Amino acid sequence: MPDWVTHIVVAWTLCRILSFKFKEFNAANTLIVITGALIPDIFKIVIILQFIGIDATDYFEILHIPTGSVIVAGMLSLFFPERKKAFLFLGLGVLTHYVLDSSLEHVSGGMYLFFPLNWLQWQLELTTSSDYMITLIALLIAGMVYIIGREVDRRRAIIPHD
Amino acid sequence: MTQLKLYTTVKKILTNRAFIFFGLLLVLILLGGYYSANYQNHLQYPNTAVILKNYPTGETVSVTGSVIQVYNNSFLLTDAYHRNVVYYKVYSTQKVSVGDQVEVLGVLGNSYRINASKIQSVSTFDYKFLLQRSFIALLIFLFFFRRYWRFDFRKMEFRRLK
Repeated sequence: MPDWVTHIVVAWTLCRILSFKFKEFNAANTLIVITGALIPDIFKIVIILQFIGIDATDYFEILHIPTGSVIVAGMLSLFFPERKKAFLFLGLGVLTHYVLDSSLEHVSGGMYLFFPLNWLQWQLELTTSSDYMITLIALLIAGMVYIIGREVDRRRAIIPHD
Repeated sequence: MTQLKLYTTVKKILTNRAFIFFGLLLVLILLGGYYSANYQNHLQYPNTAVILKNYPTGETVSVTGSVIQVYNNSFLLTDAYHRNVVYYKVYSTQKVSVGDQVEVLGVLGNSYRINASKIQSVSTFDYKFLLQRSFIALLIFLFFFRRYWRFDFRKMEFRRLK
């Protein structure tokens, strides 16, 4: 996995860019998208379980497969006032997670993107999980979007539209 | 009239939050079970779980684990599956250090010896750094999430603050 800094920053950047056009991508909903971006890594609970001597990797792996993550997003969306909107925001976050994870290189295999329909494994082999250049690039782009966003907000405050 | 009453009751049950939640949870558990029962048949190359069940001598395998000892042109790798610890002697000229997390693709010989054709390693420092920055990112995310959303235990729902 890319680290959570990358997952969070990419989800935030995407929402900030979309917020220029769509009002729905406000700070509160951006946090729901970021929550979605972290859903597949709930799977990491297996690391804690391994510390207490339980190896449940096979059973929890489903959480780090798109189908499983979307189901968890559906379950979480039930705890938000606007369920459908929350589900879409969580789903967008899940999507960003898998786009980033698909870029990782492994010696074999990859991700079961279309499980349970087929067992084909996918990987783009662009980077490795420990490569913090990706994190730095994501932070740099986020910084640029933040500055542009402030300028856009300032101009909107001067010249209000719709 | 009776039909309408039945329709309303069924609709009420189907849109009930608890019903949807447990329904999705059940689907998730079933998918998890289906995955854990079948994934070994669809792996590109056998992993430790398959090796322990049916030792595929002379076949290409893909294993992961931690380096516990380094020799000239080889190193000792440990992996575990359901409390069964396996020690692989991996023959490779690639430089690794004790504690590194390593993925190995290679041909399996007798007595858990592997002639590696491809190796990917993450150093102890890189792995710990990845976990640490992910943890910090999670704390920052939780801080902001709490500023915008608070869980209402009475309604069992997140309440938006801003």
